[in-house]
Amino acid sequence: MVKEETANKRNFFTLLLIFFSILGPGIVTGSVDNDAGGITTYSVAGALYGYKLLWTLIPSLIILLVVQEMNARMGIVTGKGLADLIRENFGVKITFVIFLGLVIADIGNTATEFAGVAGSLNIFGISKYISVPLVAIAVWLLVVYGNYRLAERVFLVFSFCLLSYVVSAILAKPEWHEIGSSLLRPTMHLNKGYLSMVLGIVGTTVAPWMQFYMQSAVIEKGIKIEEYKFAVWDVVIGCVATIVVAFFIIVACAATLNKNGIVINEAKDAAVSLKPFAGAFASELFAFGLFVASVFSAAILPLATAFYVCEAFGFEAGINKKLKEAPQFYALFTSIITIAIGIILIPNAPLIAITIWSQVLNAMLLPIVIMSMIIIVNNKRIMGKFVNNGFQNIVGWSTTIILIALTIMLLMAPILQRFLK
Amino acid sequence: MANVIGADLKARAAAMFVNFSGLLNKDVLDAGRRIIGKMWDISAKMSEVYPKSDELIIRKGFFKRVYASVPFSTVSEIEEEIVLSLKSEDIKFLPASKEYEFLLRRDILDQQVVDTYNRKVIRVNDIHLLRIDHELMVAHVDIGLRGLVRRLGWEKAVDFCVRFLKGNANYLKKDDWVSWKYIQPVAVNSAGMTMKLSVSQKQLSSIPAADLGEIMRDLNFNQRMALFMALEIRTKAKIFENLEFEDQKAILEELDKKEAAQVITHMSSDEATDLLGKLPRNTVENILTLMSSDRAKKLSTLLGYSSDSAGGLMITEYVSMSAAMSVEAAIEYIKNQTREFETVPYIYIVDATHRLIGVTNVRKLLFADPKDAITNTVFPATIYVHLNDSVKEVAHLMEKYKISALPVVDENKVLHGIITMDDILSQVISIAWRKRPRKPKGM
Repeated sequence: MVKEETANKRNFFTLLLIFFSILGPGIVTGSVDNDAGGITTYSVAGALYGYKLLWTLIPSLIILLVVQEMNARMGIVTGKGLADLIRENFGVKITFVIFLGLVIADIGNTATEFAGVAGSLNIFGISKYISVPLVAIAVWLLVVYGNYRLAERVFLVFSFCLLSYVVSAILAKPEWHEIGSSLLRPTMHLNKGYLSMVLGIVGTTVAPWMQFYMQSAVIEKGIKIEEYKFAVWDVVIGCVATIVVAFFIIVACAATLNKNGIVINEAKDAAVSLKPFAGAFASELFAFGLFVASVFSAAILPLATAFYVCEAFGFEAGINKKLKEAPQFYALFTSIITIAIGIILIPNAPLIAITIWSQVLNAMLLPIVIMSMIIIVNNKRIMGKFVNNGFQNIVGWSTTIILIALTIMLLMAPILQRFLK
Repeated sequence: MANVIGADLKARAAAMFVNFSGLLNKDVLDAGRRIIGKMWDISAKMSEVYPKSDELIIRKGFFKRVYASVPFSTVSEIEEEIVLSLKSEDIKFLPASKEYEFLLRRDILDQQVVDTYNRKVIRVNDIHLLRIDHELMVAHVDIGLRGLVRRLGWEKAVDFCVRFLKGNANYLKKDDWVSWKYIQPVAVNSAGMTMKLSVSQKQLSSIPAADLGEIMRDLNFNQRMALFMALEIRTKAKIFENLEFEDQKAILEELDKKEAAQVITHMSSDEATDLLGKLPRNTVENILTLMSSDRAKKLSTLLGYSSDSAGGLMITEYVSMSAAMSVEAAIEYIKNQTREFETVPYIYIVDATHRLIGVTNVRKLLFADPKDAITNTVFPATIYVHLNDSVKEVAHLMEKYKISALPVVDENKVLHGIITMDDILSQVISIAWRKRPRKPKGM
């Protein structure tokens, strides 16, 4: 009897161990991906266009899969971060352009994260002038003095809360046949709002800084080429989880807000507006998920950005270094946070515009990053026999071309509209 | 006046140095001054302290890139353009450039290198080449912000702005150049996964193993492995002692078993035991069978003790001698037997069954009558610990009696090894610092 119990216990723990060892870079990256900016973009897309934009998640998933698999492979084979590889293969000028774009986009993204913090805590009656500075200080202290790795793991467990969106969506009783038909019959409109929304969704789902994050995570995990197959599974699970969460956020907002013609500007509005249609529980779940995601990404984004910039330009970097040893690193990290909260704390700041446009900037930066990745990943000297195959190159290049085309269309939309009329 | 001469010297010195980044993509002309392509790279001979230019690699075409290489001696002019003394008919372009061992653009510019002087990994922003007749010599690498700004093509504008804001800014005066003699490239040859060690290998081995271990943490795995393989066995073992277990394991997996056994043989016995204790059983057995039987026996005995007991902490490198020896013979014995030892804090006197009788030290022996028996030189009290005593007890005894090494005995008082202050200190530090986060590699 007793023996059986211990055997059961051991089984349970081995399973748990296997489960946690599978929880790899892909899943971490996936959960970072659904940050406040992502949740906002998906909510606004759902509220504004209903189920119409659901189809964008399918190409997003394919792009995400192909790009992250490349990242995993590059990390495993070279042991180098993406910032390293870009600097080493393209020199200073291209690196500078990429990172200038990345820093600007990430300041916008970080601002969005703090907007998420402000919004979600506002639901609990806390003013943004209190919550944002407090969370910012907490994040800063955590990174500079605390044990950041442990915090990352805690956040990861919390990120399971993102699954609360699935519950929220089902509570909202969506029309499944409409969802099906919008997935099968994509629609395209040539107006600025629609185009920027499409680009925004792609840009937030496949954010450029994530490629850098993903590759570092793979290296840190010390995955070997023999374990490549597992790494691919990890990527697949992470990507699918990301897209599933995104799907349910759009569905939740489409089924309630769009149906009733409610216009929202922030993810917080979505949480509030959900209440009358899906109940207080769904609304609170939505707000809680938003808070966790925001704090998590508000810590990771500025840190990661500062780290990659320093990596590329050869400045001392790393949270184990003291302030004096890595001044550029800490200066960059601190200024990204400071500028971001500055933007948020300006009264009547156009939060929704900042969110959508930083996602659009992401989408514009993305083709440049993907192009660099494809060139590096096809270099035999760097990748040996693990260069891209034909399929990967086709998806990679077509993603790049489509994104460039969408970006041009977005910029030209006002002209095109007049021309078509 | 002095200023003028200074400026003149400076100008001449500047003319002698060429920035490698300034040469990149310059037009290359043939003897008839027709453009034949753009300068792509320079190959260098690593045989001397400062590598010398060997061949110039030219690239042309955009969609269909072709490369040609010419001996550097045919370069007749390096100014606005690079002019060759060859006719363009004599230059053959091929779809791929030759295999080179060492290229400046590929292996140094924008890459990471080890600065053996400041003992850290740095990224190269530019290379300073010294002009000597028709050759270029690698003199410095530029790791400063200014080199970065120059690469962006904004040197003049940024200089102007900085001068405007603060005339005596450090930025304008201080150049972050590191002499090539301190530079160890870490570009890994993808074919053999080996690293070309520069002549400054001597510099590399002059770095204390602890610092070298730190440097290795900043390199990626392939570079780390290649650098490790290039070192000599003693340095390897020392570095190994300074690595975290995860890194040790990763390197061990890449080494062949024989090499692994060799490295572990050269480690101190307590560090080696620590490492073996964490490895899977069959790996340990594999490694032990490849060692000398003496060493293997010692290590497998040590492996039997719990890692935080006196038995697990002790080392087996100590001096013991029989009670029958005279002082004279003892000194002679120490001279002959302990060349390899770092220090000889104490000498342990044992009987025929290796039971501990007394403890003495070199100082006592030197001041004693050479004809006297060594048993007359022992300390009045023999302080020792048992195999199963805890770290705490050992540390406590050391502190109480102010002894830098304690003998470890079993229940029959048979001497098995000693514990030094160092071993205890590292234990105490690791307990005190346990809460400190490990340095993450990715960030």
